[in-house]
Amino acid sequence: MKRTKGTEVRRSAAGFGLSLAATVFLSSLLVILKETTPWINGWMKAATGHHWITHAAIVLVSYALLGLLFSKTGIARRLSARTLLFALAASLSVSCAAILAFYLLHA
Amino acid sequence: MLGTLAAMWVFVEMLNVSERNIRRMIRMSIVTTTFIWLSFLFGGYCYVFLYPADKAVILAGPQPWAHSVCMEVKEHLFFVLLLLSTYLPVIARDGNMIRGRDIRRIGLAVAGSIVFLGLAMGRSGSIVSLGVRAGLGG
Repeated sequence: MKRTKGTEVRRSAAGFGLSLAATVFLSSLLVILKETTPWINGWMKAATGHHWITHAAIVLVSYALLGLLFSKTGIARRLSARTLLFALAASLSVSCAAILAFYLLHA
Repeated sequence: MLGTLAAMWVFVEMLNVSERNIRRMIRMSIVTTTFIWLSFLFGGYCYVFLYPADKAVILAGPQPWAHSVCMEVKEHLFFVLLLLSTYLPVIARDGNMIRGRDIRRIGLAVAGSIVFLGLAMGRSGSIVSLGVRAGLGG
């Protein structure tokens, strides 16, 4: 079967893919914010009893909500597979590198 | 580790995806999600309720970086792994997976990232264990 380039992505796959890219980036930003801002860390600890549980809740809720939002609106429909791949690769590499660099520098 | 192995299975199936193996690939992507979620729930419980005692030992020992670098990076990168594994069945079920080269690339990138991060998590866990052992003097 012939494989084609630049095929359209199903709406939910595009929406949740874009949400994945955004949430991964948001998560790394939240890591740096909570480690450098005592009141954010304090609020996250107070909210659920542990900052990690609050972080997990924020990340999972953001992923679900943004995924639904992007899937229902026209944003996902305009997205090509190649653009989505680029967004995911950029978000994953930047976020992982930022978290690693942050803890290496602050150890 | 079972989640990482399942993701590796999905990666290989995806390299040669066709009408014959697509159902097996989708099933294995769901298996990947299930195992990673189970490790999130079980590992999360251990991290929140049991790890603080080990953390104190590591920080007082000769290898405090086992916590301040390895554990901190591991606990926060795990969210990336969790989200990737949740997304894997979504992209695996895309109707254009067999014919769309770029969609297959997205799937391969997601499955490959799960394998890479899963192995990194395992390695970090070993270093944290070594940090506890060093802290206990042995």
